[in-house]
Formats: sequence, C-alpha cells, structure tokens
Amino acid sequence: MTDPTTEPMLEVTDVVHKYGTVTALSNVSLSAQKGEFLTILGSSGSGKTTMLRVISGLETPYSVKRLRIGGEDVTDVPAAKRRCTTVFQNYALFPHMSVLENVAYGLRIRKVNATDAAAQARRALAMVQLEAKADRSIRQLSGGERQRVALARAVVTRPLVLLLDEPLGALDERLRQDMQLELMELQRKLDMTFVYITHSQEEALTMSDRVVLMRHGKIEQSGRPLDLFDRPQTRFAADFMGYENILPGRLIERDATLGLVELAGGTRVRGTLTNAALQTGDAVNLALRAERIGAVAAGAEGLDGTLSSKVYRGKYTDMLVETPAGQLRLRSWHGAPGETETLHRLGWKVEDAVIFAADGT
Amino acid sequence: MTDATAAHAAHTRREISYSPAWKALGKWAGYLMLALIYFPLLWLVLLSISRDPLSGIPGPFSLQHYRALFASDAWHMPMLASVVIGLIVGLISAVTATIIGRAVPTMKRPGQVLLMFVLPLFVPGMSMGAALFIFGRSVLGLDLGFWSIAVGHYVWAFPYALLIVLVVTLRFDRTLIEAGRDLGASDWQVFRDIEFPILMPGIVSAGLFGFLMSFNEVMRTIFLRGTDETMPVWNWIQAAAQQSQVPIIFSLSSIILLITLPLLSAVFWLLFVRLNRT
Repeated sequence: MTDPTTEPMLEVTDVVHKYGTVTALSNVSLSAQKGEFLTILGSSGSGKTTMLRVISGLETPYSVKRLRIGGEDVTDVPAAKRRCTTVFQNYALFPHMSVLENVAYGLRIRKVNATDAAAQARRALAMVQLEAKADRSIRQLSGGERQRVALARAVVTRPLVLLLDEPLGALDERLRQDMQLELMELQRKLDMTFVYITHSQEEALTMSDRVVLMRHGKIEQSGRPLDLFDRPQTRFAADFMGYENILPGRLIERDATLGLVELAGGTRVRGTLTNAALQTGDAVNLALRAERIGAVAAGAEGLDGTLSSKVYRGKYTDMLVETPAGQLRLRSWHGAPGETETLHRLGWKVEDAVIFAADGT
Repeated sequence: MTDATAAHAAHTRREISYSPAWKALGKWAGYLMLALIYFPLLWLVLLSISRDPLSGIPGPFSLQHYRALFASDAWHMPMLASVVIGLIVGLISAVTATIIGRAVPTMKRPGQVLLMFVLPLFVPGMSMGAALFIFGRSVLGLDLGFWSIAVGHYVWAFPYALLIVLVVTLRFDRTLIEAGRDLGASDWQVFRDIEFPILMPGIVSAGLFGFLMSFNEVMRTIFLRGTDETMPVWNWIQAAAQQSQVPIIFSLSSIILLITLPLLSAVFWLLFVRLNRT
C-alpha cells in the first residue's frame, strides 16, 4: 500500500467506452488529488459526460485498466456502493419529497437514525444557505435554490469525490457567477475532490486547480488554467480557449522558448513556442488574442495594417484590420488610452503570441 | 353568369362560413349531447324513488323499492361475484400494467408492441367473448364460471390499465433512478422510495379503472359465465323477464351509479389533478 497522502483520490487509466459503433472515450486517463478541483472541459459530444458517468458507475465502460476511488478498486462496484456522488445537470431532485427529505435520503439509505439524519441534513442545508426552506416542497424552489439542494444532497454523505455535471448550465449569468464563487468556497471548506464538467471555458478558468480539455473522446490538453489559457498546444485548444486570431505560417528559427514564424505575405514575427518538439521548417499556427494586440510605432516588430471596420460594443470596441498575413481582430477597452489613434502598424508582446503545430484541423 | 355575380356568390358563401350561427350551433349541440347523457340517468334515479316506476313518470315518491331491494337476497350472489371479480381484475391489471408500463419507456421502438397491447380495445366484445369461450371450453376443456369471467374481464381491462399507467411512466424522469442509485440506494430501494410513490396515482387509477371495466362488463360475460351470474347480467335478465322484481332493478342501478361515478371521478382526479402537482 502506498502512502495515503500521496495516493490520488481518483484514478482512471485507459478507459474505453463505445455506444454501438461510436467510440465515446478512447483510452482516456486522469487522476485527481484530495481536495483538488478538477474540471473536464469540452463541447457536447466530447465525451466529458460519459467520463463522469463511468466514474460514478452509472455507465459501465467497455474496458478500463484501472478505476480507483480513494485507493479502492471500483471497476466492478455498482454506483450505489461507490464513495462518490453526482450533482446532476437537471438536479434530479425527488419531486415527492421535501427539501429536507431529499437531502437526508442518502443518510436514510445508510441507516443513519432519523434524528441524526435530520440534524446532518439541516447542517448541509445551512452550508448552502437554505436551512430556512428545509420543509418546503421542491416545486416551491427557484432554479438556483434547487441547485443548492442538489449540492447539499450530494455532499451530506461525505463522499470522497463529488462529480458535478454542468451544474450551473441552467442558471442565469448573474446567479452563475455567484454560484461559482460559492462552489469554490464550499470545496475549500469540505476539502473534497471535485470533478466538474462544463463547456464554459470561463467557468473552468475561474474555479479549477486543473483543467482537462477533451475532444472527440480524447484528452486534447490538460494543465493549470493559465497553461490552457496562455499556452494552447493545438489549434482546437486555441480556438476553444478563445483565441480570435490564428494565423498559418512556417517556423524558420527557434531557440529554447521562442520561435520566428514566417506568415503569409512574407512577414516574419516572433512568438512563444508551446511545444518543445517543434522543429525548424514545420508548418505552424501563430495565435493572438484580440485584446493583446495594439498599435505600435512604425519600424517596431509586427504587421502593417489598415482598419476596415470598427464596432462599438459598450465596454469595448472591436476592430477588423487588414494585414499582409490576413485579417486580424482587435479589441480595445472603451476609454483606454490610444483608443482614437489611427492604426498603421500592429504589435504584441512576444509571450502573447503562441506558436503550435498546424495539425490541419 | 358574369364575373361580378360569381364574385358576389363567392362573397355570400364566405359570409355563411363566417356566420356566428356556427359557434351557437356548437354550443347548443353540446348542451343537447349533455342532456342526452345525463337526463336518462337522472330520470332513472327519480323513477327509483317513485311508487310506480314502470309508468315512466316520476312521483309520487317513496322508498318502498329500496326497502324491497334490501329485503330481497336474490341479488346478493351476483353482486358479490361482480365485486370479487372486479377486485381481482383491478388488482391484477394494476400490477401487470405497472410491470409492463415501466418497461415500455426503455424500449427502443415501443410503437408496435404498444399497438398489439391496446388492440383488444377495438376487437368487438362478441368476437373476443366467442374466441375465449371456444378456447376455454373446447380447446382447454374447462368448466366456465367465475374464473373464465375473470380472465375475459382481465383481457378487456388490461389495455385501459396499461394506457393509464403509461401516462405516468412515460413522463417519469429516469434520471431520478440514477440519482437514487448514485446516493447509495439498491434497485429495490429506488423502486420503493422513488419510482413507486411517483407512479402511484397512475397505478391506483389503473386498478380502479380495471375494477370498473370488469364491474360493467356484459358482452364477454355472456359467453364466459357458464351458469354463474354477475351483477349486470342479473340486472339484464331481470329487466328482460318483466317480473314484479323490475322496480328494484331501478333502485339497484341507481345505487351502482352513485358508487361508480365517484370512483371514476377519483381516477381522473388522481391522474390529472394530483399528478400535475408533483
């Protein structure tokens, strides 16, 4: 037995799952430490929900090399006996039970006596600020309140791993941001391992210790939120993380971290390499965020360009600029210095331009 | 005919189709229909408390036929038979409709199977009765009686019970089952604590409806009864016989009406009012 403090709370190795002839997961592996907030990010059909269902036991995988929760092999353990619980996307609250009965259900199943169960359920409800509504029926709750009940119901049994399946998807913008902060606080307080599924890069970046980006049943890239945000390693990752400008080119020179790329039109610009394996001569993409591009003096490194359209969007202004390397999107905060300057040449910090292999997609 | 007169004729035709009379016609046809349904029932109840019901005119009023009804025991056996058969059919319909009704939503293509199950609704009672008669009597060589009546009633009542259970099973959210398992409940606990309480209004309605279908059945019973009598069959024989017994039939029918109407109301309340609250 290894040291329990370093043993991952959740360990999944080489899971393969198929729906008929469609492969939903192909050899996906991931692990999470105690108290870690792990987010699985992906669009619909990426396999993220299937992954969650495999972990919870609601889906039996086609094959898996290793599936452990809290160090215990759960490959053949049914969902009911696994020490993890799920917060479902539609909450899946029991409509015929009161709020308190919903929260206490897991305890009742574990044969906790009624008084203790009620007390523990009330404490869990207090944790999500819903103690006052313990005796309400589910129908009388708003979407945000249902969300909290689902959360309280899932954590009251003290699972080792809490699985959350796009829990904030149905809430409005404002409530979602509040709930994000609350979830982070709750997770820290409980020191529980959270595995969080979302398609929103904003949620992933805000809450996670680590993000796993999935695509077509495989892991595209994983790492700390900043790694994904600033160092995408593929075109898909760059697109998904919101890079507005992705320019094709060829790598003509490189050192340890920086590369020189020749873009269409012959302009050569420098950027940061996100993959050490890139070699001189490789077809690459150079990606830039719209808000990290600005006007620079003539002669400085960058691209010449002429403004072709300008759209005021309230907090910021979006601009389209024609350059020899193609059209670039720019975004400047409304009221920022230099907003009214005319653009002749565009530049950026070398660490804001990322270079990765052009993978043809 | 000139173009102008043709246009005018079309115009008048359109006016007829827009006439408010259509709306009024719908309304009055509806009232007429309701009268046709409820007036004879009301008349029956009035005649049952009249001294001379065979005259067809209510009054002078008296409860003498009810007294005669309760003094006689001729109708006890048929009534008992109908109630017991109805209870058995209702119970078995509810249980089997629940088992099958739960399985239907998980099927990939439930349409054809469902059609097969509800087809007995459209098979003429005479054909079904005759078929079961030949099958039980000649093929299996059974003595006909209460059990064959019960089987005939069950075949008749089951499609209704299934349709009623489907109302609740088709809208049952199956993620609740997953939520239950996820929280640690065994499949039996999930059924007992979550699925059954939510499906319950439908299951009880199916049982009540099964009881009523059986209690009212005549056509199949005639073929399958052997020498036994159920309540409606006994009523029919009495009424046809033109005996002095006839007035108490009016009383008995009234009592049955007063029992079955609230039962039916209960079914619809359970199905459509209570269900919408959960």
